[in-house]
Amino acid sequence: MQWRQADNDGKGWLKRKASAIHGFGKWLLYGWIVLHLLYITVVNSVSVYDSYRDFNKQPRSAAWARGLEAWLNKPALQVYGRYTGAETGYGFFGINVRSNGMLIGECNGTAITPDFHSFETSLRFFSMGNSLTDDFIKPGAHTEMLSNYNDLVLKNIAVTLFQRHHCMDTGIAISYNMLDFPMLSAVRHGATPEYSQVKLISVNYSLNVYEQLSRH
Amino acid sequence: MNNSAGINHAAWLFFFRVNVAGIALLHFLAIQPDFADLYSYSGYIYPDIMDLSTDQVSFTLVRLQEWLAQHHAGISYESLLWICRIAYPVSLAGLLLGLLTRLNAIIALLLQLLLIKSIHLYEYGVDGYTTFALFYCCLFPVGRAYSLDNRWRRQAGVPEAGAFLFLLKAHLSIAYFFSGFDKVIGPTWRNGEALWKALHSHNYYSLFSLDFLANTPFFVVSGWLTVLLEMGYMIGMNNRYTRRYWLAGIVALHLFIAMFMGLFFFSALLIVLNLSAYLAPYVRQEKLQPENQGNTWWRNVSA
Repeated sequence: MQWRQADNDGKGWLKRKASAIHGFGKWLLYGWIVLHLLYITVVNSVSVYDSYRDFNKQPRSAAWARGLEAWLNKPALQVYGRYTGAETGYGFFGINVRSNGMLIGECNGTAITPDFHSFETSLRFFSMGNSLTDDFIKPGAHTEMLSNYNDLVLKNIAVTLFQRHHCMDTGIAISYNMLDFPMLSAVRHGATPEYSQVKLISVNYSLNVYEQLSRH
Repeated sequence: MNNSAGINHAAWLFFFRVNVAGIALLHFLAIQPDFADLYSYSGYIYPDIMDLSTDQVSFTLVRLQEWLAQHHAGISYESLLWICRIAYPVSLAGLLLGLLTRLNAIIALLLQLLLIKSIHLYEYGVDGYTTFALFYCCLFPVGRAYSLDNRWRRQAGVPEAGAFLFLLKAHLSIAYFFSGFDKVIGPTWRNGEALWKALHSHNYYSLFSLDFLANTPFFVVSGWLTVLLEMGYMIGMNNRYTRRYWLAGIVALHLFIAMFMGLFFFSALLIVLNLSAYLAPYVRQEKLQPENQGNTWWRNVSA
């Protein structure tokens, strides 16, 4: 009987303390929720500030933004933001809608473009082209390493295009072409609403060893 | 039964789980015809080249392969890719059905991050939303509502999930506020130019051209409506008198984005998140047992 009484006392203790344990857990949850929402707010505040300064071609010099950014770049917080999805900024199409374009290859005078079976993939490829060429249209310093990397990616795309289209040539050119459409105010004043192509960057890759060597 | 505050936690948790998992699954299936183009060494950007510009915060397929090789568990890139290509939709299906819910949610989240960061140059807005939605599936008690897991539980009751609902609503409020704020601080959303430009971005699908509205106030008014809907979200959605109209406005906004910009999965996910937070919790249930809803749930639900 004694061990049963002891057992019941133990369970009774747990039952008595259950609300406290439950209450403590609830406060932990509430505290985490506040911190999580604060993290999201800070990420987006810094992002809005940076996009505003970039749009107005001003330096990102505010001490509060730089301080918060340094805090957000701490490894533990980066991992936290990544695995909770809290690192996502929500300034889609803000502060301005960027100009878009497309990657076009050329082989033997023929324009060639990547062909996809699904619209979703073409959308992703289109997003990739934009992010790759962001460096060319946004203000700021362009490091040599970044330029070399972008060149490598473009070369990769060019080689794949070359292979996919069975290009019968010794070289392939690839270019990123901005597709410009007249502004709303221009169309209202009589401009023709049709696209024009502006070649932003163009690179030629030769598969001829002698041509490659002669360049160096 | 709705609780004393009129919130139907079973409804919103179930709606959230099924639709987040379903949309993530459909989104992944949508790229299957071109999967090799995105992920393989026969694609447009080779995985190791893609990896050069990835941060070190989370694993990519290439980095995971290297890590496994270092720990004497070497596996080819193609085999690892196939494992992830099968495991991810399987975990999403498990999450959708509510089978080993939390485990499948965690696996789905980790694989979603692994797969999307492996092709980070191809990433766009919907991926960030998918990540946090899957994270919330790990955190919220979504497996306690109309799930296969409930068949093995002795007590199948939906726990009080008010804090989690608050978190979802607050997250959406912050997201929409900053989305609107980032638009209004520039001139182009105020004068209609941004909307005009967005609709003429190449490669965006459009149901039909809206150029015939160029000489009307449509683009200016729509730009301002977008900004006001987003910045006023926190107040409009959380006021019971304006909630249904604001929700209708937000759903209409995302339907417009789907129909005139072709961002189908982005729009679908955002609509689901909004309905999970602001419609499903207010669904009335009449005299239903918490365990045996079955088909009767569908008959009795009313918004």
